[in-house]
Amino acid sequence: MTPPESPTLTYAFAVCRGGTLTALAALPGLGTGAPVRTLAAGPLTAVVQDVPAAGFGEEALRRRLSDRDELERCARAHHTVITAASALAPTVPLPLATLYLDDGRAREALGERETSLLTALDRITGRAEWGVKVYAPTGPPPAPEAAREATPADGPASGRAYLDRVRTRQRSREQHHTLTLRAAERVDIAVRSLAVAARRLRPHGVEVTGKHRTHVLNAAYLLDLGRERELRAALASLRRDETDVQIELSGPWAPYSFADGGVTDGGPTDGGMSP
Amino acid sequence: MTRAAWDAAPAKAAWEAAPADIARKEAPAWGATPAEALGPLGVPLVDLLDRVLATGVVVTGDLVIAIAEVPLVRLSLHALLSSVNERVPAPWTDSGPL
Repeated sequence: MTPPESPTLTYAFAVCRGGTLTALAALPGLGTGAPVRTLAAGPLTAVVQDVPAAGFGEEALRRRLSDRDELERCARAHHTVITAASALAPTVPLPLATLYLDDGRAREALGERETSLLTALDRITGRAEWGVKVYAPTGPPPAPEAAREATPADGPASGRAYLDRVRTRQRSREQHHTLTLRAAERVDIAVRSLAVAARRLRPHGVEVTGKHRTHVLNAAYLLDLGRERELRAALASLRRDETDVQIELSGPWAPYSFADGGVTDGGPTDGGMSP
Repeated sequence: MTRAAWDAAPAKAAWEAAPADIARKEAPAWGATPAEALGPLGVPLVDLLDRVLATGVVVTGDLVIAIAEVPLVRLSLHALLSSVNERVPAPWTDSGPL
């Protein structure tokens, strides 16, 4: 802990309780050369690293995080340390780029949040986050059988037949969309029944998913550590039943989505609809 | 890379076609650290941003970026969000405090 010559800031990755975190020193963290270390703050232990003030000051940070490659590097470095910590002790991840002037300031800030951090640690201890995403393939809608069969018999009324076909196709597209949303709801309900908490994240747009599919559910679940097999079994069964959608599982994650005070469902703002 | 340059780049099409694969391939050197073996391997960037940004902005945004005693989380993350938004639209839960 010898103060280096150039001024540094304290970058905080996560807050833990208990555990032996010395193994974290082997990680490069943000690659600043300084070791990833722990900082005791009352009953909490913060996982921190000294970073050069020149590279992480307001302007530098803004530039850094506005650059996609640099943002990715920072996000992955942040995630690597958090993942390692959460394998060693109950860990509440802190936001990307949580910086303090020095260790004293970091202690102070964590002290102010002590109660809510302890509550969060209670909630996530012995649990892990899993991500479930549901996609609907955006292939052509099922052929409107009724309309097509009706056409030859219609003869002169072909204008009307055409309109019928258009209407039927439109209806079938809507029905398909409704079906996939219902399927997503069933997936959510099934996984939720295994979880102690659930949260809806916003579905990704077409830029991320590609045009071949629509993202209809992006959810995170907090599960007791022993339930991974049940979760996988539930998803296997859902994949058999829900043939209209693709279901993807990711995890286990450090409990990123459950670190806040009130773990709430996304509610009506994010029913997973994307047009 | 500017927005226009990115739009023209072959990487864009590849990214759109298979973002997870690209993210995995592009995973920087820290993937080699022991910690990576403990978590999901080659985590797609978009899933990661869902989490490090959602928690950062929405959940504990007030555990502040405190430089010169000024909470900067809103300032600097605003820049971040608008830039991310160009290619990774809205991975966070809701509009957050920004």
